[in-house]
Amino acid sequence: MPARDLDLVRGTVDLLVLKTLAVGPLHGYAIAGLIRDRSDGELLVQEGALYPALHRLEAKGLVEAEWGVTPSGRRARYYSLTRAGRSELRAESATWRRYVEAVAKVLEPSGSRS
Amino acid sequence: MPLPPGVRPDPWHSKRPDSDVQAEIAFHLEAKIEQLVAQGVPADRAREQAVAEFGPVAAIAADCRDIDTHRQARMSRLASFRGFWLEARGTVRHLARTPGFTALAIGTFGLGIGATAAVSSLFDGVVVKPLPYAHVDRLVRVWETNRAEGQQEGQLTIADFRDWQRASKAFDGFAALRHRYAVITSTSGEVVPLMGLEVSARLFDLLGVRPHLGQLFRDADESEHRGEAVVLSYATWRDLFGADSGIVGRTIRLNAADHPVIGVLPPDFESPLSGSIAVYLANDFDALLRDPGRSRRMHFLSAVARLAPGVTLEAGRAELATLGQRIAAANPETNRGHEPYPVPLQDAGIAGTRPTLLLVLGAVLCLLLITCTNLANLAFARALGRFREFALRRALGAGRWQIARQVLLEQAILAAVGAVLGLGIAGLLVRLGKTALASQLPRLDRVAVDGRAFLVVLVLAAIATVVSGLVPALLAVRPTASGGPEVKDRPGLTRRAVRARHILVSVQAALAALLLVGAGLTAKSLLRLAQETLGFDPDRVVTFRVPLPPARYADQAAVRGTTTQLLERFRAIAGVVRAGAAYSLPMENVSTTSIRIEGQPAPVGPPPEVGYNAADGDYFRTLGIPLLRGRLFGPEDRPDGRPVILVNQALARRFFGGRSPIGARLKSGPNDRDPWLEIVGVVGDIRRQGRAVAPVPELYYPLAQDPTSEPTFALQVTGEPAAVLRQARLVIASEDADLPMSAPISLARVVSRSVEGPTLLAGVLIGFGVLAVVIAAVGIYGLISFLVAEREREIAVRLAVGATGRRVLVETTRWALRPAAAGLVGGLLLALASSSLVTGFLYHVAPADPGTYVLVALVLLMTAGLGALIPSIRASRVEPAAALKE
Repeated sequence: MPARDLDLVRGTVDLLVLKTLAVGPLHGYAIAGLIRDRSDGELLVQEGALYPALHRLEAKGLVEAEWGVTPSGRRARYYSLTRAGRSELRAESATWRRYVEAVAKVLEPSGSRS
Repeated sequence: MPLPPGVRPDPWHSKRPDSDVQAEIAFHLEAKIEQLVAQGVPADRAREQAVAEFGPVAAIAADCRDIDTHRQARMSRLASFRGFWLEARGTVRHLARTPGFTALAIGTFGLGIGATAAVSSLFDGVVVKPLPYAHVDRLVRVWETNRAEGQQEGQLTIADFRDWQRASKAFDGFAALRHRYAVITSTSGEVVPLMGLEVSARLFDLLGVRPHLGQLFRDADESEHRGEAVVLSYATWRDLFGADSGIVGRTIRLNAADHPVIGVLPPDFESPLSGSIAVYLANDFDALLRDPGRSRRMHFLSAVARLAPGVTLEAGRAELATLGQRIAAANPETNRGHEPYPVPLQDAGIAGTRPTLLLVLGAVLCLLLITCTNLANLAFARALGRFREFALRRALGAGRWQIARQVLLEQAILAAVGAVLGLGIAGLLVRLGKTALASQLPRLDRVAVDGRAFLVVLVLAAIATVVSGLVPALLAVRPTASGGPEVKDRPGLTRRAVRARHILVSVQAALAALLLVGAGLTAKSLLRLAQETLGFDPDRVVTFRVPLPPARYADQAAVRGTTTQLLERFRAIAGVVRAGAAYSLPMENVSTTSIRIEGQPAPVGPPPEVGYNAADGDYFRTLGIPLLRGRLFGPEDRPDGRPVILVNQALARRFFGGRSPIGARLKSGPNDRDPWLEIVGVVGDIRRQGRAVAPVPELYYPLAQDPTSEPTFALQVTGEPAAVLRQARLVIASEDADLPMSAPISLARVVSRSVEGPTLLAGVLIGFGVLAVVIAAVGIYGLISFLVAEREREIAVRLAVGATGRRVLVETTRWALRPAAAGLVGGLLLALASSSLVTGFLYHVAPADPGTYVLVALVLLMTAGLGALIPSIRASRVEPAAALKE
């Protein structure tokens, strides 16, 4: 997938969003919070960058959105994975893992090859 | 998708992308601020920090909006397509519920569109489609008119051609051509009789054609390319020589001599003269220039020329006319009445065909229009049946266009399927037509149901949709008188509906009348023609030609010897009653010669021209041409004997009046050295140029004294013609293995395939006329059925209060006759007004022939009555009690 390789960051954000949504419908603020907490604040520097990613995923049909009213009475847009989103998540996670392993192998100190 | 627990759905929230994004980001920031405040950050600092962690709000919102706008645009396109698709599917389902109607409509559309596409393909291929030459708009065919013969498109003499070529400035090139028999021995040793063209070396350059293999003739200077070299057509190269790529430089056997092949033409090359040409030969036109007596008398050449760039056809024509006058002034003996006559190559040779095809095109468009009105009638009946549904939908807010669209969509679907069927029908018709018309129309090999025909079919389908759908669609959306959906008795609609259908039936009757008048006039011409006697009996006579190649049959003695030998051996074949030979057959071009009669003063102006043929005595017996006076040719007419001739009755009458011409003498040809020919007999006239052409004065030379190197043999047979032809072929091969039997055909076929003026047109018009009448009858049946159903209650009341069934029958029939009669009158007037168009196709029938018009009126009125009969009988048998109870 050369197109994705060129756009590593965007692809990464997409993958993180999909992964986060695997647990169930969430609004953007909750997604941002989860990613920040799990990555100890390393991955998501600007929370706003999340929203174009969400809308793009929606346009691709990987997530769908629905308006809801939170228990505190505010209107929020809830995102959830579609079936296509779920299979994209599986495929992309596998790709990502292979990628990380490959990079790790190269970066490991020489001599440890088994 | 379920929302998380505790979250209520919010379906009423705005769907506009703009406010969506704003609300979404606002929620994020508010939640963030709330959290920060909860962590103890002061409220004003909390907002700043929230925005800082979020990033550039306006830019992010704009990005999201862009993405959403794109998505929604795509979805709305998808939605409108889906909507259309659903509507189309619904319509198809609706149509499937009435398979009878659907099949009828598709079949009718298919026939109408198919027939029209076939005729338009024919017209396109023969007339419109540009010939495949470079600068085709500058190419012209040049004829030489022959005013004495009343001939516009005559052939050229070599001296005239050379004069034009030398003096013309308006044209940048001339090429002369003439047909030659070409008997080619193929790789497999088969001797195949074909057609060749002897051409100026300049021809291929003028036409802008490049060789497929080798090279073509090249014009180094005005001295022409002579010699043995030949250029093969692609088909010849492929079929006779197995597409042998090494053929260039080798010799082939052509007319019993060896000829080197210098090149092969590309597959898409078409001969500029009609007919398929197998081989192009270097020319020997100038041989005649050495014979000043004949170089301006032998009209045997065709010519193609190319206008210089920027010169108009008018300028070229004017220049040639001036040249022609100058030549005629210098050579009054030979050239008076002969003028150069250029026409665009694209239009050459189809002058007689174009009006026929235009009329056929008009007729088929008429037919298409009739089928469309019929379908409009049917569609209308259907729309009426759904009126309740339409009214309901309008009451629920459906726009007029939506309902009209539904009616139109139904017609469009029917027309589209009909168009597909029509393409198939057109292909079939074109294939049939090409075989049936092979000898009647030029350029038939250019006719195909191709991309151009497909476009025509598309346009026709669109026209058919609109014509057949518009009236019903308009009526379907007209508001009812009360404006509401209550449609039980729909009085306003009924009146409009009846009027519309009356008009449709009238239009049908008018078009049918128009076609029928054309059919009647041409059919009557055919009958008149069939009554003309040919003057010979073509039954049980087979003919073929045996071209004797000059390379082997150099002198008259050899030609005469072989002809006589062949005749004797043909007579010995079992099943052959008689056998004769001649120079040309009936229905072939007539060659002419000028004559002077001994003892008669020379007429003012050019000497009279008469047709000529050469034959042996048995030729007349074989064809059943009667001897009226004197004797036929016999063994006493030896080559070295006294020169004699036979004349036909037309010649005897014209030049000898009531006196007997036997024993009189005449000279044929211009030279004083020519011998006097004694008339020994008078034979009957034959219509040798087709039934429609009256016999012209003609004389016959004895074959023994005037042998031809391309003798035609006529065999009267008793048995199976094919068996006789097989035997004759063996005889020819055993006489000389290089000789072919060319163009074997029965004389009856020769006669029937000759262009008999109105045959093609009559066939088409009669076929279309019958179809039109049938369609009109169906239309009238539909109208009356509808009226009877509408008025069943009224009829029942009248029957109940004492009207007789007979009276009802008469009345309903009258409903049918009124629109039919109105249309009939219109159609007859239209026919009368346009009858001058067919004048040229009629034979001894006036275009306003009253008998035909009366007959057409009777046929149409009877058809209308028949169409109304079944529903009328139904009406007269209405059970008053049952109908009124409903």
